[in-house]
Amino acid sequence: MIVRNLSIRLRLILWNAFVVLLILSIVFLGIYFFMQNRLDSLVQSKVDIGYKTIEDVIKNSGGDICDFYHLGQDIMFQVKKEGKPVYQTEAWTDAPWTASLSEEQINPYGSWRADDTRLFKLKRGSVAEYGFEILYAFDTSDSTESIKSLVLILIAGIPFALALAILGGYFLAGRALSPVQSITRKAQDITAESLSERLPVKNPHDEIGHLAAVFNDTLGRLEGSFEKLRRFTADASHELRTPLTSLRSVGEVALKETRDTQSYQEAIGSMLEETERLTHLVDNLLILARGDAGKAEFTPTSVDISALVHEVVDELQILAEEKDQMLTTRIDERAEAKIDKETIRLAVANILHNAIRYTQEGGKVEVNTAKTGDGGTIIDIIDNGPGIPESERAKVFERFYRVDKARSRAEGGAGLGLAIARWAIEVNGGSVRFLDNEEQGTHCRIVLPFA
Amino acid sequence: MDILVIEDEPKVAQAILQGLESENYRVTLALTGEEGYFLATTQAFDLILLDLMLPGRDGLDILTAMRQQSCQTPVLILTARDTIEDRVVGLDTGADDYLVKPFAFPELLARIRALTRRGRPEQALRLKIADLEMDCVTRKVVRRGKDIDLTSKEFQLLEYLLRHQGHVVSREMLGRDVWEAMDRATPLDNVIDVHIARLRQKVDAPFKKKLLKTIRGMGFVLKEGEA
Repeated sequence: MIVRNLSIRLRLILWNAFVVLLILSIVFLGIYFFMQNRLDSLVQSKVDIGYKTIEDVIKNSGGDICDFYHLGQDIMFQVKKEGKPVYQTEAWTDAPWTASLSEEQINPYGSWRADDTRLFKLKRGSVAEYGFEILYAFDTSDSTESIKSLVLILIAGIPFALALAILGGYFLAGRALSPVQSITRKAQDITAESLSERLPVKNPHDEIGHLAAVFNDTLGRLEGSFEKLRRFTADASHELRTPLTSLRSVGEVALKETRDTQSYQEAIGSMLEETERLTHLVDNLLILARGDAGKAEFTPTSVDISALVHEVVDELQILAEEKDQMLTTRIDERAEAKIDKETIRLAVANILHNAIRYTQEGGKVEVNTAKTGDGGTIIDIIDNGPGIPESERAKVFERFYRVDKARSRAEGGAGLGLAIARWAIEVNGGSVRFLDNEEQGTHCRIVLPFA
Repeated sequence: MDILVIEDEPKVAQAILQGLESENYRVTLALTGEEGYFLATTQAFDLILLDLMLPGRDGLDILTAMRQQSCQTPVLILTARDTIEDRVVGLDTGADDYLVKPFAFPELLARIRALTRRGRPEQALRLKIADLEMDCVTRKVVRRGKDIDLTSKEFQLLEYLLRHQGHVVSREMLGRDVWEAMDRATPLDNVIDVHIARLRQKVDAPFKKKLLKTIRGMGFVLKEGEA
């Protein structure tokens, strides 16, 4: 369809014109038929009146033909007696009658169309007491002319009305679409660098205002994502540069002057440690990048959560022991979920590792599992460490985010553990967040769905 | 033992060459796919180390062509591509093992030993280094006639170190082979370090001669002699 390719404005104009044309046609047809009808009955009553006048004159004259002259010569009629014309007016004589005027056309209300298209209405009757027969004719060309000129006026009016409709449509569409244009112009100017700008919302309650508001909302989220990305890039380069810097300076210092084997070994060992740190970092970033791209490998199976938690706790138990922490579990043995085992294991290990790492020596760490009402599983990891301020609770799941930057780096973390944990849990359909802990410490809750 | 290394990155190739030569392997280096393919099909090697991303001719392509010519030399793939699909494709094409870059050199050596040993089972039931002895059946560890009481993890760890005695074992190897962690991202390094410290406490601390050594930045080695 060609119409599809036109601009909205043009389409609005065309539709507007079409509708106006339709309405005009209906109204005009109505007017035409109404007028036609009115004129017809008017003509008819004129015919009746004309005929009656003649009849009255004949009756009043007592059959004297001479009195007919009083009616004048302009009225078209003929009077017959015993089939023969006895009187006719000049108008009748001048009328374009032909011999073909038949009895049926005259009877009772006939009409006759002359060669010059004039239409004559005919009426025939008789005045019985004098044996007269009256033939009366009425020229309708006046009313036909009126109808004709009416039609002409109407038809001539259509182009004007149409032109007005198009012009009006043009302005109306322009007015209606002007916010769209200003939005378009504004949106064109918005780039990755100016995401903080917003589209103009003139009236938030109309459709276009609503559209702009929705668009602004999207822009807001986009801005947030961009901001996150920017921060992520900055953090990532910082995290990557730190080991690179150590690598470089350790190497440079080692090469500066000749040393004994042992200090070379020290230097190389230190460089290798930094390499390991970098490798870990890249591995973690890769996990997240694959997760972002939806390219991570998953094989969700029915997993015994209690066994999984036991495994993780057993594995990390030794770290708690080293810090004289009490690592206890309270596990609902029936807990089960359809998840990818390795990712969830990673998540639980990361969160528990964090809890052990940030809880002071001699502290307490607890891992509890329970079933929820709808068959899901809750894993709670609770410690009595320093806790996380409420304002930071959502942020700790962001990549590279650290509550206490200096301290965490000394502990060896890159700030990706919780980000990976959240990704792993969410991709398995679960959720993770830090709850309010009535006492001091941190309370992390993982919820995994059953199916 | 002859090893063909097909690797286009000169630095990596040189490092592998030197590392392997210091372990007394005879190494031939091919810096392009074409050269590697030519050498692999015209000379006899005991093992081929194959990089997958090569200029000119892709590693998998070379492997396919080699296997089609019924060249059965064991192939160890070295690559930066580490998704499971990549591994599966590599192994399906006829590779014998797969190592992801950046790899730890001790691990490369361990894999090479494993591949060239393949076919002859060498699961000794009694392991020994200096005056330390392990009986894998009774699960007893004795040093200088004194029983050493180990937890099961410590036992597994010591067994692994004994089986690789004289060779450096990286944390990654321990994580994968002893802890059976699938992912390199698990927070295992600290766990491994603590276990090693405890093992050292039991196996080495009471004795004058120290066997379990930490090689900074690389890993651990169970070795007799030198400090």
